[in-house]
Formats: sequence, structure tokens, C-alpha cells
Amino acid sequence: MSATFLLLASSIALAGCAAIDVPEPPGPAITDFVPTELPVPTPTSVGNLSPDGFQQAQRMAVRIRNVGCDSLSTGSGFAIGPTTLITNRHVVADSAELQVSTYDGRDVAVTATSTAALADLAVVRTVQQLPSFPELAAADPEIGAEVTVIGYPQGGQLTVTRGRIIGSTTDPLNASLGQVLVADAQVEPGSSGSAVLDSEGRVIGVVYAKNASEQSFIVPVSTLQGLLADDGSFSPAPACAG
Amino acid sequence: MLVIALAGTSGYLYRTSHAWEDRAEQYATTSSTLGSTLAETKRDLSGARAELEAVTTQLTTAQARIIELADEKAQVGDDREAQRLVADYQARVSDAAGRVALALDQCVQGQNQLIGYLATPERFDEVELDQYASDVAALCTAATDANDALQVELGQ
Repeated sequence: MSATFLLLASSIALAGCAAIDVPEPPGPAITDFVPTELPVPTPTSVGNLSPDGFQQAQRMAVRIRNVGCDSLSTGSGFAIGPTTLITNRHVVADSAELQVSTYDGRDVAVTATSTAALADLAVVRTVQQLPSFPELAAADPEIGAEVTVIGYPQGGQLTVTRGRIIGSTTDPLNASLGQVLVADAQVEPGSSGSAVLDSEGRVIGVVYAKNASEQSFIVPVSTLQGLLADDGSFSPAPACAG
Repeated sequence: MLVIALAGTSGYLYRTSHAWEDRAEQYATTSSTLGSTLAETKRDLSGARAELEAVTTQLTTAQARIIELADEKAQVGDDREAQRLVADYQARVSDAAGRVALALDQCVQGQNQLIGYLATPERFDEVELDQYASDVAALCTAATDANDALQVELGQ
């Protein structure tokens, strides 16, 4: 009786073993658990990648001190080449000496100044290399475009202000031919010559005036491009008499 | 036969389970090592992030200070140039005033001398007296011109 039961139990056990997977012994041990190809991290911000951490817009800005025969004034400007900067004609007018300094206070000697007759623009050549210079936009901005103005309002600290292009008009000062841009970015005396940048940091104009409604007037980049392309559009700036 | 089969099966299962047990122990050790490494890496990353944040703050502070210093230097430069212009102006005014004073002195001396001559005109040649009067008038005109130049400087 017991032998019969044992035989039956063994048969059931063998049948069960045949029905389930017999565990295999472990294969070769895995020794490298660290993946060789990691996902590339995506930076949360680009940060300031300039040599000293300053924004490119700050690095290209210059402060201009116009020492006249009997007067002293300040204005703004910005580099468009290694030794070339742009400002307003009225910023460099009636000058005995122009003194240019960079965003970090370095003095830059001036070799020559020339002004445009058809717009309130001037080109200043420097001895030392300017820290940085931006790209000029290919076309004028659309109405509503966000703009950034960087300069030295009231001859004070380097300041960045923001606004939007709100329209275009004929030059209220009759200093420039054609249309000029109007923006709601706040500027002050001393801001003249400031670069106006688009959202990608390209120059889209040059501040040259403001009105009582705190609107700023801008020489558009198309005018700047056109004058820069014409060799005869700029002539040496006359010095003050006295 | 059954006993042999059971014994063989049992032996196989024993060795297999033992091998798995060893493997599990090995993986547990590896996991512990990797866990420690991960914890250290997380700690280092946290420290690096804190350090980066501190350095970023320092950079921002340093940049603001650089902007301030550049402005202070610019204002000092403006003051220097303004003072130079004032000094130049004062020098021009002083020079013009000196010329006025000298010309007036010459004018007054000449007129005094002329008054003395005219008190006894018979003692002098008439032509020479007229010439002297003309010279004195020229000196006084020069004084007037110098005064005009001074007034122009003062008016600036």
C-alpha cells in the first residue's frame, strides 16, 4: 500500500517537474552596470559665455565723452567692427577731442571721426580693439517687435532698457532722410548713439532722439547699412573752432 | 531508480540555488558599491551646484561692481574735463583782463601826459602834439577793443 503511494507521489512529482521550468544555473556575471552611452544633458540656460561673463550687448557698448572748445557732453555708441564704432553725428559734433571708454572702464583712443550728411550717424575709428561687436540685422524690425536699448543715459551707468517698436515716421528733427523707427523703450539725453537690438542680439537701429511722450526715435538699420555701403556717405567730422 | 532521480534532482537544485545565492550576494555587493558611488556623486554634484550658485552670485556682484567702477571713473573723467574747461576759460578771462588793464593804463598815462602837454601847447610843435594825441587815441581804442574781448569771454 505504502509502496504504491510512494510510486504515485513520485510520478506526480516528476510530472510536475516536467510541467515547470527547471531553474538554470546563473550565466556569466554582469560586471559593468554603468552605461557607456549616457543621455546628453540639456542645459537649463545658456548662461553668459563671453570671456568675462558680461553679455555681448554690454561688451559692445561704449561711452563717448565729447570735449568741445567750450563745452562738454556725453553720448553712447557701439562697436560694429574690431576698431570701428557707430554713434550719432550730434554726439561727436563740435568736438576738440573724443574720449571713448568701454563697458568695463577701459579707455580707447580715437583715430578718426566721420559723419553722415543724410542721417544722424557717425563712424569713429579706434586705436585699440573693441571688446565685441554684434551682427547687423538684415532688415528693419516689424511693428511690435521687442527691442533692447543699451547705452549710457545721462552719462551714467551702462543701462539696458527694453521696449517695442510702435511705428515709423518721418524724422521729426529733419536730421535723417526717409523713415525712422519709433519705440516705447525709455531713453534719456546721453542715450544718443545707443544700439537697438532685436531678440537675437542683432542691431536693428541707433537711438538718436526722444520726444515728450517718452518715445524714442531710431535710425533704422537699413539706413545704417545703406550709408556704410556707400563710401562717400561719411566725411571727416569738423573740429570745433576756438 | 526513483531515489537516484530524486537525489540527482536534489543535487542539481542545491548547486543551482547555491550558485544563485552566490550571484545574489555578488550583485548585492556591487549594488552597495554602486549605491555608495551614486551617493558620493550626488553629494559632489550638490556641492558643485552650491559652489556654482555661489560663484554665479559672486560673478554677478563683480560685474555690477565693474559697471559701478567704470561709471565712477567716467564721472571723474567728466569732472576733470569740466574743470579743465573752466581753468582754460579762467585763463582766457585772466589774460583778457590783463590786456585790458595794461591797455587802460597806457591809455590813462597817455591822456595824463597829453593833458600836461596841452596845458602849455606853445612849448610843443603842433604837428608833433597832434601826432601824440592820435597815438594816445589809438592806445585808448586798443583798451576799448581789449575790454570788448573780455566782455565776449565773460559772456560765454
